[in-house]
Amino acid sequence: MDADIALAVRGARVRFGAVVPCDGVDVTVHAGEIVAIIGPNGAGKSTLLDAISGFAPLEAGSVAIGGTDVTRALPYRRARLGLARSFQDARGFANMTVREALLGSLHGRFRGGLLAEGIGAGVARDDERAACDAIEEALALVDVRRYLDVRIADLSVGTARAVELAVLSLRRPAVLLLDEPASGLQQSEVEALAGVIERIRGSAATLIVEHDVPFVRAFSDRLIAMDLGRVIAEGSPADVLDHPAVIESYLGVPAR
Amino acid sequence: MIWLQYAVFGLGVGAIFALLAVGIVLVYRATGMLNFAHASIATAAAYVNFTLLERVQWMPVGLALAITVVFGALLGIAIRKFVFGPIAGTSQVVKLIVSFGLAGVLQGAVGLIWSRIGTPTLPGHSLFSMTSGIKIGAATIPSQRIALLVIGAAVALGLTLLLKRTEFGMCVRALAQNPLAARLAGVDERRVHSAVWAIAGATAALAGVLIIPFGVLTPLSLSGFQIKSLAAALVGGFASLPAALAGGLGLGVVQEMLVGAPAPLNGLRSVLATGLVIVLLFARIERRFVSEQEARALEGDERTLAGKWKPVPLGSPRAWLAGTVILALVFFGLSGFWAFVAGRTLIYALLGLSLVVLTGWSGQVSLMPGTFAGIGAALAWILGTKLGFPMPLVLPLAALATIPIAGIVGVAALRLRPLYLAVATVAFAGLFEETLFVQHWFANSGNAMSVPRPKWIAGDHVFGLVVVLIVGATFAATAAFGRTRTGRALRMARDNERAAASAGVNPTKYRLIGFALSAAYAGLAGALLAYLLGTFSMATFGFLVLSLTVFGLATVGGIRTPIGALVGAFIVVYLSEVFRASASVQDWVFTGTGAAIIAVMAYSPDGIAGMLARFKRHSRAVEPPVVETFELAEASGGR
Ligand SMILES: Nc1ncnc2c1ncn2[C@@H]1O[C@H](COP(=O)(O)OP(=O)(O)OP(=O)(O)O)[C@@H](O)[C@H]1O
Ligand SMILES: [Mg+2]
Repeated sequence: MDADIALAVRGARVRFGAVVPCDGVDVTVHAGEIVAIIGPNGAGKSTLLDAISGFAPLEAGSVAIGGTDVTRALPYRRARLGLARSFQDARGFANMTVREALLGSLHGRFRGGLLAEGIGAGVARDDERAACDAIEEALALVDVRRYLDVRIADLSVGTARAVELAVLSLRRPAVLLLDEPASGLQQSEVEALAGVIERIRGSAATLIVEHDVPFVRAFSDRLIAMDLGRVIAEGSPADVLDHPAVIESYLGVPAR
Repeated sequence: MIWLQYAVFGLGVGAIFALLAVGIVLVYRATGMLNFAHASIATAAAYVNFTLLERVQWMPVGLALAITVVFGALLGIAIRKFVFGPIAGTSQVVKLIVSFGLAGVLQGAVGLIWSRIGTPTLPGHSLFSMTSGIKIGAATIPSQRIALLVIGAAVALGLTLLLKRTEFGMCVRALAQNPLAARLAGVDERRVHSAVWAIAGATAALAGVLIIPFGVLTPLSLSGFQIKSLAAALVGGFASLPAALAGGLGLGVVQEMLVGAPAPLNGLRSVLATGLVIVLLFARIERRFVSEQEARALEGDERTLAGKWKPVPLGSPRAWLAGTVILALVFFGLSGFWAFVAGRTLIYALLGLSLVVLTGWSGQVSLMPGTFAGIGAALAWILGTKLGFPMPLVLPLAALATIPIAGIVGVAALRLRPLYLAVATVAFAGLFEETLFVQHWFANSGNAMSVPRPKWIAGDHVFGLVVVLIVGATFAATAAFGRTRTGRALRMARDNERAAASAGVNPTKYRLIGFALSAAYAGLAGALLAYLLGTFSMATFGFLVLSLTVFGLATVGGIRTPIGALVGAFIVVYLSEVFRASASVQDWVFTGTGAAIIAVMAYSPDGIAGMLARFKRHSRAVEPPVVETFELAEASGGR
């Protein structure tokens, strides 16, 4: 087995009653690689991310993060192993400020016991100060400095997505899953976002679900096309986009 | 034969539970609000019916019934418009709190309008005969019981068909499964909600009228029906009407058969409903009826209140310590009486603080603050008075003892999902009230208990000062705790369970921490209150009354910041001291806090503290376009 495989999904099948949104999906992402998943609505892309992050139980198959099998692990356990993800609805922590959300993303990086924090020692060990340097680090990537004290629900979609990226990058994830990061953004914002994703590249294995094909094409090393719960094509962006099955799944007619 | 008679009797009562349960299920399915005030609607209707019959001599019983049912429907519509309307589409937690407020308003209003003294109802008020009926062997089953069964079953089955077969039913189900898609498909949410509330109000009114001939009518005589109908509704996972009907009938039959059972068994009657709720929760019954997706849709979303919730400051520990010192100095200037009142205010503030941690930060709702306070007070009596432990030892023990109990409730509450925790706390609070709080060894059989203060701090002044220091220190520590990693994790799990989990936070663990911590605060407050009062009985800690009061004060002050608990406690305790002379002060407190809860949740969810925070930051910088954000980062050396 390859040493630098950061994420390995094998034969993943998810079932919700009669619906099988993922039916034997294989995905491999290497460290430092950016892989994009495309596919029509309802193809099972978000469900695949749910299966990887532990929100949708697998009926068959396995998921491994950095060589550790996590098929049965709870979501927060997988997060501790270096998995970070965004959500399609981009709700975030609606009632927290941007600063709090940034600090919260450091949860796994600071230890701190309940006893030490609860019984007065919290005053001395105020980890807000300890976290300041870490936050500067995220701000260097995505500058959301001026929103630090704004509630997340009050941000525009674009800013909320920027904040989400800052929050995720702050955790220095080994595997980063993004569910439609460009949806709801204006064209100029999408271009800026592409720059940010490029900059994260070095440190993480990135899996992006996205409808905006020109956007993902710019930085993806590989594309995976899904339809009806299955991978229908995989390979370099040019090959996948020319694949007849992919064209058919998007246009609904057989490609000539 | 005697068993058969009991069983048929039970079917009659069970039909009433079912009648109430279907209303609860219908409202929950359609609006996501689990109504803790449903039995209070029945109470109000029972009084309306009684008044009609008593005041209007010529009024036929049937006409009074019809008018009352219409009244119930109108009340339902009014609730939809004025109580539910402003919070439709918000989170489950907000809806639960508002339904407590509604219960307070209805109970208080009934008390104020019709006095709290019981009114014996007359057999002539019953539409059906209470004595003659069908003979089974030697026994007679009165027509009233049979009518109850027929009406209850007919309504429940009729509503089931309504949901399954009609277009209206389809709208209700669509709204439950996917509100957004239903709205896009042209479902008029408001009209559907109004219709659902009208049906719920009318059936509750029907239940209220049918049940009153069975005894003395008091504002609280139907309060037991709330938990029983909740239990019946839970049999169907709050989702299935036929299962709720079966649950109601089954509960009624078992309950009546226990009446005739031999000695140790018939004692189970009082814990039947609460026990059933707890068993059903442990069994995770709702999974058989509600999909995960639907459950999440019903949990709602706090974002809908956007623009109304502003970040409220958590408060700094140093400011709290400074405030404590200042308050301690002011204290010397107070008279003995006001020192006592101030002590009481601070203890209520501590109870409010338990809800800041639980509801404000952890996003959970519990009706157990009163219970935990009662346990704390009882422990003060057991440890302090009976075993002679010194107060400095009793207080921490009283706080710590609540934690394992909180753990059991937490496990029953299905990994502490807000809705099920609220239901579990109602059940456990009722269970403790019926079992633990009537024990001789634990609560002196409900009689007065004396907890003398230690000699060296016996005076109201000195003791009040001790309260100031303890409560002040707890507030300071809580403010510090709010900023720690754990405090933040509580709020992450509150705002977005999935996002929290994918940031490495175990939501269940932190909800349990929030629940246990709030229980410990309430336990400490209860023990302090016992010492402050000197003599008390468990009636002081009636879980519904005390919990509602605490919820009221915390929401009015601002449930998400410690200062809110203090402000709320000051208002509530001060007002109830001022109106202490009035005979109906309790009803005024109920009505007032209930109305305040409803208004606050609708217009300023962070209460007074939120209003103050809004004044402070009236101008918020306009957001620049996000491109600037990304580009700025590039300029400041991303590459
Ligand atoms: N919890 C669930 N219960 C039942 N069905 C579900 C659940 N989650 C998803 N589905 C169904 O699974 C299918 C795949 O959904 P999924 O969200 O994964 O698609 P997607 O590819 O992300 O689509 P989109 O581009 O619209 O985001 C859909 O038909 C959806 O209705
Ligand atoms: Mg999706």
